[in-house]
Amino acid sequence: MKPTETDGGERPSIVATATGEEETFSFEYDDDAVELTHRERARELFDELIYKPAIVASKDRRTVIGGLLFFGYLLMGTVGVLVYPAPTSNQVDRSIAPFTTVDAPLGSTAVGEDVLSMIIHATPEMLQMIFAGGIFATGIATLIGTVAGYKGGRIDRAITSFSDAAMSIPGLPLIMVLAVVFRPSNPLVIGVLLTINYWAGLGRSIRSQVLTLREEPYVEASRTMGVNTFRILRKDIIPNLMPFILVNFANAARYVVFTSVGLYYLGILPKSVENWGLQLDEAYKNAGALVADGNLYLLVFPMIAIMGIALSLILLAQGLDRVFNPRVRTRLAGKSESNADDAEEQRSTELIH
Amino acid sequence: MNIRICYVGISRIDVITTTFIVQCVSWLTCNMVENDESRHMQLNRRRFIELSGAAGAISLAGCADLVSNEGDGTDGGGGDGSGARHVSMTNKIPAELQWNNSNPSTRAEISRRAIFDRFVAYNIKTGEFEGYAISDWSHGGNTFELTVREDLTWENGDDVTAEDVATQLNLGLKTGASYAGYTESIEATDDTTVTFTFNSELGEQIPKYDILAARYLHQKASEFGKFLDQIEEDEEAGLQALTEFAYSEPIASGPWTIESKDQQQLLLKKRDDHPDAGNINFDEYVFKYYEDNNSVYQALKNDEIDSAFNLYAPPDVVESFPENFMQVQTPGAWGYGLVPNHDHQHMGDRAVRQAIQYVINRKQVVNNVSAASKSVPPYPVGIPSSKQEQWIGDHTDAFDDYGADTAATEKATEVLENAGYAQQDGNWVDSDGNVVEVPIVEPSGWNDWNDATKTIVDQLSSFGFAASSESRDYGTLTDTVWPNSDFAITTGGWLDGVPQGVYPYFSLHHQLVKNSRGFSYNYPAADTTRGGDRGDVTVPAMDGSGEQTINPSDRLDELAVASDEATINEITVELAWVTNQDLPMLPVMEKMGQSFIDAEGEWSMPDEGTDSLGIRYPNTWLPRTGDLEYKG
Amino acid sequence: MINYYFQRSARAVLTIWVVITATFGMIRLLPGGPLAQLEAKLLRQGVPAGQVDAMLQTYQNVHPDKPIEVQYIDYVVALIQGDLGTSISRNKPVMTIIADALPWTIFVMVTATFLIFAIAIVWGALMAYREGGAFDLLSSGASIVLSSVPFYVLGIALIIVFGYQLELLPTGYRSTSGIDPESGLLVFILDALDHAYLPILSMVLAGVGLQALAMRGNAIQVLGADYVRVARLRGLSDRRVAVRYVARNAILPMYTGFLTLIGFNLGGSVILEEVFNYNGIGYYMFLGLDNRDYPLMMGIFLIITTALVISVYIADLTYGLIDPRITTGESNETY
Repeated sequence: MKPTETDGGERPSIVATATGEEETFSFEYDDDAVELTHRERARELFDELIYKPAIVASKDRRTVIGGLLFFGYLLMGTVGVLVYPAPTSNQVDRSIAPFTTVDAPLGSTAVGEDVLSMIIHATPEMLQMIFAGGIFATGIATLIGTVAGYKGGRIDRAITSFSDAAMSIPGLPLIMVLAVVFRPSNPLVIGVLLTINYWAGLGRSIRSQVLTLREEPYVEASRTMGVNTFRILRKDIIPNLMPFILVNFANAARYVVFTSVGLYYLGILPKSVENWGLQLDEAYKNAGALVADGNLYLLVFPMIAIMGIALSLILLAQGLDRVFNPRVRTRLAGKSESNADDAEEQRSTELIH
Repeated sequence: MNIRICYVGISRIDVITTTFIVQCVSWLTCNMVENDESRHMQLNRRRFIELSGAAGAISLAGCADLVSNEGDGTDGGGGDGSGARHVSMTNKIPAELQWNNSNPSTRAEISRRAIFDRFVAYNIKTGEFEGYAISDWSHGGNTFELTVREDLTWENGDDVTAEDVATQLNLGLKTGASYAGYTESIEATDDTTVTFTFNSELGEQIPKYDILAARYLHQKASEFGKFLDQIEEDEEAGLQALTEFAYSEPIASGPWTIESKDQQQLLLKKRDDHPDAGNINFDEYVFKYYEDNNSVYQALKNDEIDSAFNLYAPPDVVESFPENFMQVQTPGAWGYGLVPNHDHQHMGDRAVRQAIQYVINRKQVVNNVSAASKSVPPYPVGIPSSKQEQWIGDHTDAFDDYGADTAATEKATEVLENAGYAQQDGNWVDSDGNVVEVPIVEPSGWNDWNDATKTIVDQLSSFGFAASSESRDYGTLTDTVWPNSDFAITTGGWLDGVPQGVYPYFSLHHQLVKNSRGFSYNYPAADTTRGGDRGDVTVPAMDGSGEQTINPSDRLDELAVASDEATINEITVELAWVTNQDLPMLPVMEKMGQSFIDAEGEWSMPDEGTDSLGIRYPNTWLPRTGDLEYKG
Repeated sequence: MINYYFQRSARAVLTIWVVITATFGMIRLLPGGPLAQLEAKLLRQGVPAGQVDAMLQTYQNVHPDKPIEVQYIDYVVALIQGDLGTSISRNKPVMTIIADALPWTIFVMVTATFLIFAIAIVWGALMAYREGGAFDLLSSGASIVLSSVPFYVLGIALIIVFGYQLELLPTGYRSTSGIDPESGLLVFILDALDHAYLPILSMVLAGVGLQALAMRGNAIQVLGADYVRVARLRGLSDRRVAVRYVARNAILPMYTGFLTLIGFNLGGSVILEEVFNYNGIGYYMFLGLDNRDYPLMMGIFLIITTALVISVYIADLTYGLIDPRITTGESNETY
């Protein structure tokens, strides 16, 4: 991946300073030398990180729809839970069919809980799981991938072996065992647990991106100047990986949704919070919804809730990919770039989960 | 036979697939058949058809020999029932089943009721014991004699002897059967008599329930005698051998014997030499394997099976079954209750326990969970719902029902306020200002129980208790939480289970002295293993004047040996009163076993409400008496 | 190069050993043992409590648990001799269970994964060729919507529609009672296919969307690449360009994805097979967990781990052969 113009403000500057006899000339990473006020820098940062992507994003229908949809879930998980009463048993009559009363617009369960209320009140925990899982997975993957890819040699070998081992543990069975052993009830913990080895595959592809990035001239320049590794990673490598990381954040989030719901459905995770998977489980086991046609709504509405949030995340991932992908952008603009490099291709294949 | 087999054999979509594939493979297959494997294929064809039933078979173009759509002949069973079969269900893979009761793995639970004869038929409705494999018994203070049914044989032709029965019961003695605690020896005193000698004198009821009620004749001396010898030589090695023995080809004592078992069905054939064979007018008994309840529901809905055994089915699902199915509900003498830790600051306070019991609307809980499979105990006492009328019916004005179908919040408030509790900001606090918390610990994944807890938590919360639920793995509960008293209040069975639990002695014993699940609930009257010291309990007198102090442990010992009815009644009522007032456990609901039997289609059943439906497992019992008949 | 292959192989073996050891310890942390789980089940079935207690107590007394390190050494020694132990809940050698179950899982998963890629490649390529057109727009939309459904949710929906409502296909199990290869190969295959349609369909439908989009992205990039334009300018036929240049270069990056996805799906079979009651290894994994059947769980962990390690291993070793631009080995210098 080539550095884009967005890196301008972040790039190390080369400053010549005369510091007496020992060193007549040195390269130094010096922010102050860039003659920008803090406010200007802040604005530039805002421009590059939020404004410009937002402009591009708003041109992409997928991002807009996905964003709106996700915002809807955010609203549901924050304002919705405050406005709409929480589900309790016998808050309405038992087994009301959907769309028959405003008290329970989506019907009620055999215990007399409002289905809509159950769906709404499952959202905050789901969002917490998503963020915890997404941040954990992409965070660890970025750390491991960049360090391994950039440092190379023995450290690379060690880290790669480690993440290979992590990747070779069967993810879902491992998570199931851990979930039964620790019975996590905090959504943040659950989020992390679900991505316990998700980072490994991601780390691997970040590593291969870094392998390409580190050969870039400006990275080499920083290295020659003796800038320390951590700083190079932070200032040169990671900003260039951000788009890739964001896209994968959305993918990891979708994975968390699918897995958490699946494990609640199987009765592996404890019933400590409301969850759409628990609703599926109840409908399946207690209400016999597969056989009793009249109870199908107990399955359908939570399914829609699951699909909706997953859809928003995929749309965001797909749209963001385009927003942050300069090649797609330039190609769309009619300009042709040079041939695709491996890193680019690898990115596309990483959408598998 | 009314079995619509949709998936056995070949389903409709196959016809589509087949048209694609048949072109390519038919000549190949036919060649194969003609060349060298024709005999083999012939055989297989017969077997395939036999198993697949009449429906769904298709004929392959150009190779009609492979499968044909002829019926399997069992459909046309005539009046004598020859060829007819009864199809029921099992939830374990038939090929893996084994019938050694002491080996916990892949133990057959359902088909054993068909293959083996029960000692006696205990009718939970009438409370009567009707002799069967044990035709008679007599109680003599510290002895108990069983008489083996005379004309009964094992499937290999050997007579069932007292030796067989004694072997089985002696193995029970070694493996901790319920009678082991008070039995000194069991001997076959002649060919048909087995004699128990007890450590001390015992009333008649206890051995009847303990020894006769739930037992099946399943261990033939020639097969199991060796384990008994081995145990006598070296107990550990013998028990090890016994618990590991897979009895996969059992010798039947009942009217059916195993013909074949595979991955998906267990096929039993009628034994003509069984004394009751004449009552049974069908030849085969099939247990088809259904992994989960949903597929059993579907099978019933499609009339694919004739009966289902002990199946939990919620009301909506029951409604979807064809009308010809009769639902037989049998009380389980077991069910969801709350077990408080009596050492706990608040749960140890009788007033709080009573308040909780008042606030719980048992009827609402039952309706939330499933009215078809649970019943409401009329009075919270240590006696099963169906037996309460019989035992405490004369004293109902004294006993408190704590509001069976209402949340008696006024009563609860009164009780709490009298005990020094007060409401503060909507929460109940004790005299020191501590909020009364009711954290209910429950086993995870027990969906019906979890629903009950959810309802109770909501009921208690709206009253002002800080109620919550915490679900834990069942293994954790039995390993640590329950034995270590690591709970304030937990869910638990408040009765002793069928059949013993039906008799008040056992359920009172379970609540007051020694519960069978190992809850260390620290009740003062309880056994030391349950955290008590078999102490006294003081409760208001039943006639309303003053108080009375009772030692439940001593009184239960008296009850165990009592033989005259007046004493039995007196002690039972007295102890029931203690459980009602002091609430060592809080009863909430009782399980109803649901069985479904085709009663109007191709089978005839006794009318609903008939006494004979009070005998458990009607689909294996009623054919033996001729009450469940094939009518075509 | 040979040294690399050797190292890579040694690492694969080491990985398996580490994972197995970690798993062994972890599984023993599970609350309750096999007997507690059994007790819960029997009680809920209505078996008299006294009977259950007596049976389990007796069993426990004569089968005390050994210390974990002894168990571990026993396990590893047996493992080296090719013995995976005996399943507690099924009373059969774990090896027998796995040998019986694995082919079915592999059949479903490999078929599903293969179909996912085959469909995705064709579909993605078509989208790329008609980029921006109505077909592309509709297809992209469809693939995004499909990907938003978890496969097990799709599975439940398919069971309801095709199994319970239309009654066209079986609602579960991998074959019908009494039908085995002995009852006629054709009959057996048809029956097995019948039972596999829905599981495979749910995997394919839920999995194909993202792969098709990935293929579309790859193909669009390749189509815009210089060498493709050069090839066109050279006057090569469209067909030749499509196959030789575009298809090959666009499919290449999906190759590793294919192998890792097979491994990934093996793990995912736990949920799939549980939903469909399909007796493959995922089903037994859940059974093992549910019954605290340690040997069974270990055996399946071992199998899935090995499969994962091997597929990553193959991907690593062969990627360089397939795509000469990637150099195998560790030529990176340390910074």
